[in-house]
Amino acid sequence: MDKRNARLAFIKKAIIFMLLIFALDNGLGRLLRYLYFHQSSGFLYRRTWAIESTTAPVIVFGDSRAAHSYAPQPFEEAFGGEFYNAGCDGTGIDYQEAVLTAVLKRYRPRILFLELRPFDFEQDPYWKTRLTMLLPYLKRHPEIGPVLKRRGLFENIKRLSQIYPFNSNILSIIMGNLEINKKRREDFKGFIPLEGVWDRPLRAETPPRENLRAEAVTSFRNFMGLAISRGITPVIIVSPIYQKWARPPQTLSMAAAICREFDVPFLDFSQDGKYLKREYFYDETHLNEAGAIVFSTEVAARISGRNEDP
Amino acid sequence: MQLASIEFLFFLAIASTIFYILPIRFRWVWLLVLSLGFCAIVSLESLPILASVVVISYFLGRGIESAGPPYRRIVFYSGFVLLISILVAFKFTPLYGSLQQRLSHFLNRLPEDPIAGVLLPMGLSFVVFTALSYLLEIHYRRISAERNFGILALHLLLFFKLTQGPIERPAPLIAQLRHRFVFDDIAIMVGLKRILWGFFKKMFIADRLALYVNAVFGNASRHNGTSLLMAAIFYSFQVYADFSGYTDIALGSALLFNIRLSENFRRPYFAKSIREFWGRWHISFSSWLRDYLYLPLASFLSRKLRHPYYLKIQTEHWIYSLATLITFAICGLWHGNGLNYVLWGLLFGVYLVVGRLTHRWRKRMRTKLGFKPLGKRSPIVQIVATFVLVTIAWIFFRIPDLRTIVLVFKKILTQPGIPFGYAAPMMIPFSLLGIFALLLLESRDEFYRGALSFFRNKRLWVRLLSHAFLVIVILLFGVLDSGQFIYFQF
Repeated sequence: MDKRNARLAFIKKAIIFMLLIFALDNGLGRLLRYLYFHQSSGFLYRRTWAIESTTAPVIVFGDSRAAHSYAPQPFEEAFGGEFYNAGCDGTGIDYQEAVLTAVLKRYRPRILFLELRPFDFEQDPYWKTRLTMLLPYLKRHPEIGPVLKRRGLFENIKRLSQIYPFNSNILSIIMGNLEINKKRREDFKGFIPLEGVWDRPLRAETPPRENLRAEAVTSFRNFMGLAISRGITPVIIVSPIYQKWARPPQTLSMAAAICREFDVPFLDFSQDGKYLKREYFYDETHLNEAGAIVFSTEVAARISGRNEDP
Repeated sequence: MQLASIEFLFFLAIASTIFYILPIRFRWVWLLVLSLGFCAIVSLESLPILASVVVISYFLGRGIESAGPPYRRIVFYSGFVLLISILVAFKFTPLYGSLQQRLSHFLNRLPEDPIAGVLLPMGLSFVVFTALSYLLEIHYRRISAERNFGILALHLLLFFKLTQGPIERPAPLIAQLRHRFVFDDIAIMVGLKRILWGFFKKMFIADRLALYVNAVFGNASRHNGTSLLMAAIFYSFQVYADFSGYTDIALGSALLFNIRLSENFRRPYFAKSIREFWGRWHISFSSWLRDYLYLPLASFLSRKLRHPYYLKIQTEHWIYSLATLITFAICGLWHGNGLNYVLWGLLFGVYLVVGRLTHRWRKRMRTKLGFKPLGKRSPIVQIVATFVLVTIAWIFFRIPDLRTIVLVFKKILTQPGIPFGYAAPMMIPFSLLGIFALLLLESRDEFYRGALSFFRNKRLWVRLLSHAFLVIVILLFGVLDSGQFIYFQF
C-alpha cells in the first residue's frame, strides 16, 4: 500500500471508529438520562427533587452536615409550612450556589437556611469534582451553567459525551429506579437521621491557618446576593461539632464578617457548649437523630422568634 | 496536565497533527518545543532545573569524551556527583518547596492544581537517571557524546516520558530521534490502542481501587484487619495498574510520533520469585540499577574481599548480600523521601538475600520432610507466594509512618471482621471487577497468547467494536476528573 492509500485507510478507520463511539455514547447516554430522571428513591432522586420539584417555603441547603442535622418536624411546627432538606453529601458552597440558582428560577422560598462547612473556604483539590454531580442537570437547567463553567476550559468538550454526566452513577441510577433504596435508607423530606452514638473522647484541635479559595468566597457572596435579590433573607448556620477548637477556623471568621456586611443572620453552633455531648453525635462532625432534633428545635425556635419580632 | 486526562489527549492530538504537517527535518524541533511547552504548562518552576540538568549533561558528555585518560575519570565522577547532588538537594531538602512558594508569591497565584503542590521538580528523578545513564555510557565508551544540544535535550525531556519514565538508555533513543520521523499508520494505530489501554488501566482499575485503598489506609486505626488486608491487596493492583497505565499512555504517545520506547512492565504479578518480579517490574529502572549500580558494586566488592570466607560465610554470599541490600536501599530512596521507602527497598533486598542464602537449606528440608513436588500446581504456589511477599512490601510503600505500618500488620493478624464497604455496597464488587479484568487480560498474554482476541481479531468490525466498547466502559465506570469521593455516596 502506498503512503497516500495508507493515510486514507487510516483516516477511514478513524472515522468509522468515531462514528461507532458516537452512536454507542448517544444511545447509552439517552437511556441513562431517561433512567436518571425517572428514579423514585435514593440520593440522586433527592437531589433531583430539591432542584426540580420542591416548593417548600422553608428549605435548607448544605452538605452532609445539613442532610443529617435538620429534622423537618420542628421547622414545620415553628413556621407552619412545609420544610425540605436539600442537604447533599460531599458538596461545597459552589454546589449550593448552583442549586439555589435553579431553585429560585422555579419558586421563592420564605425562609432559606445555609449550613456552612467550617472549612468551606479553604483550598480543596476536589472542589471541581464536587460539581460533577450537577452535570446531569445542565441540559434542563442552563442557569447552573456559569457555576459549572468554573470546572475548566475543557468542560464543553467533555460534555459532548452523553454518558459523561452519568459517569460512575450507573448502579445508583438502576437502584434509584428500583425499590431497594427505600428499604436501605429512609429519608424524611430530605432529612436522613443517623443512628448511633459517638464513642470517643472530645478532641482539642487547632484549626490550621487556611489557604483560602477565592472562588468559594465568591460563591458564598453570590449565594447571599441571589437570595437577597429575591427578597429572601438567608440564615447562615454552622451546626455543632464534637471538637474543641483553640481558635475558630478562618472560614467562619470570614463568613461572619461577610454576613455582617450583607446584614444576614449568622448562627455559629460549632462550639456551643450545650451540644458538646457524645450522645448527640454520630461521629465528630455529624449529629445523630437525637442531636438533630434538639438542634433543629433550637434553630427553628430562634429564627421563628426573630421573624415574629416587630 | 496529567497524562491520563482529556487535556493531554487534546494536547497530543494537536501536537501530532502539526508534527506530520511539518517537513521531516523540522519535526524533532517541534517535538522539543512541545516537550518544553508541556513542562512549562505542568510545572513552570521545574523548567529551569530540568534545563540545567540538560546543560550539565551536554557539557559533561563532551568533556568526558574529549578528556585524556587521567582526567576522563575526574570529569565523569565530578559530573556524576553534581547530578546526584541536584537530585538530593531537591528531593531531600525543602529547597524546591521554598523556591516554588517564592515564585507563586511573585506570580501572585496559589498552587491550585494538586500537581503544582509537589515539592519535587516534575520528573527530576527520571531526568537525572536518564542523564546519568548517558554519562555512564560515554564513560564506558559505548556511545559518543551527542553533538546536537537539541537532540540531547529531547532525549532527556521528551514530554511523554518526562513524568513517569521509562528511563531510556541513550543509544536506542537518540538514534531514533535523529532519523525516524516518517508517518507510519501502523505505529499510530498501535499507539492509539496502547493509549486507550492506558486510560482503561488508570481510570477503570487504578483510580477505582484507590477509592477503597485511600479510605481504609487513610484511617487505618478505625478499620479492622480484613478491611486492611483487602486494602493491601487492592493497593498491589492499584499501584501496578496506575504505573503500567501511565507507561502505556507514554509508550502509545511515543508511537504517535513514530518513537519506540522500551517496555517497563511484563506482567509482574505472574512472577514466580522476587528475582523474577524485579525482571518484570519497572524494567527500565531495575535494569538501570543492575547495570550501573549492582554490577559495578559487586565487582568492586569482589576486588576488595579477597578471602574465600568471612565469619564462616562464603565471600560470594557476602558480595551478593551487600550489593543487593545497598542497591535496594537506593532503589527505595529513589522512590521517595521517607524511611518507609528505604524499608520498602530493604525488604526486597532481604527477600532476595534470604532466598539465595537459604536455597540449599530449603531444598534439603523439603527432601527431609518428604514434601512431594507439586507438579503442575508448583507455578501457581510460587506466583501466589511471590504476590504475598510483594503485597507485604507495598504496605511499607503506601503508609508513611512506622507506627501505622505496625498497627496495620497487627490488625491484619489479629482483628478479622466484616470488610469496610457496607455503606457503599458496590465499591468492593467494582474494585474486584477491575482486578478481574486486569488478571484476565494479563493471564491471556502470559499463558494463552492469542485466545479471547476480540481486540486483535482478524475482522475489522470486531476490533473496532471491541475498542469502542472499551471507550464506553471508561466513560461509564472510569473514575474521571479524579473523582475520588464520588462513589462513597452510593
